[in-house]
Amino acid sequence: MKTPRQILLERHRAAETKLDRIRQDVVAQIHRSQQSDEAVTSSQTDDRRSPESFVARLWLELIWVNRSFWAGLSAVWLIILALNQAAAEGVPAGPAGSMADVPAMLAIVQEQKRLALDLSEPAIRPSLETPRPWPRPRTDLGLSNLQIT
Amino acid sequence: MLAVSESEQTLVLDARTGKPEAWDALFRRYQLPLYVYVFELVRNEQASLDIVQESFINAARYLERLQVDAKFGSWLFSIAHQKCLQHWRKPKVEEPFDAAEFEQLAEDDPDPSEWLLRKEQEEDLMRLLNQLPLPHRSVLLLHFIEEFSLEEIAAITGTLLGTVKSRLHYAKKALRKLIEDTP
Repeated sequence: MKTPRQILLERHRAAETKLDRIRQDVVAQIHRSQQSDEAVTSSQTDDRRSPESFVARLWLELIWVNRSFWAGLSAVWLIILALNQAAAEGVPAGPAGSMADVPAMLAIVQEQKRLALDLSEPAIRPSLETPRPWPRPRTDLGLSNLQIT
Repeated sequence: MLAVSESEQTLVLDARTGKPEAWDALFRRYQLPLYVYVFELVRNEQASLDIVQESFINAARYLERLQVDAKFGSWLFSIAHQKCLQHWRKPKVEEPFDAAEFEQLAEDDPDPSEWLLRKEQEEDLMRLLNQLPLPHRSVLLLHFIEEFSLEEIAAITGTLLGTVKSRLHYAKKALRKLIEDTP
């Protein structure tokens, strides 16, 4: 006498060889993936420790990741420099080319000074001589004008 | 369900840490029962082997989703059951639950291990399995192969507990008739 379980398992006992092979394949696969996970973890740990990898990581994480941003920024700076250079070339020659005109320039400056003096003198003089057109404050009148009864 | 030994729970714990030996022991324990279950549903050797392999791979891949270590067996069977459904590519049709039949369910059914069949009845058992509709066959196989509880069978097959009871009752009744009719 057998239970249904025993009957069912015995009927398929022949498949065990194939099942063993499948099991071994899957376990080997698990083992491989476990090993590769460990290898990745250990290599990442080693990389983080060495100084040259620090520079490489800095390059990767700071520059390489944002390479389009840095390229754009460089392009903008190049354009600014080019525009600046072009503007500098468009300005006329500086004081070195006009050394011969120095006496004339000095004469013009002297003339400007004289005119400024002429214009300022009449404006100052009337303010000193003429009285103020509006009434003086009561405090400026003096105590002599007060009558005490 | 067949008693889950403490060592099996330890194996599941070890498997969680990725120990290949633990996986090997767990798969060795379940490979034949799982194959029997799948084969008796699918009826194709190569497809059954493929489903067992895929079930093992998925178990290794998604073990973190298993919440109770003691339920590893039923969880593995539920993976295989889903693979069988995918194999058939048929939409799962839930049978309407028959309340009247549910009321008649015998509570004093013998345990799976108490069903004893004579040598000449073995072929009859296999013939009966062939004749049973797939959902009933699935429930009966899970009941006999691993002695899963009704709740576990409901979880594995994704059906209501009442439906499982009803199906098991129907299948057992047929089996009892078979035993009684055999001289």
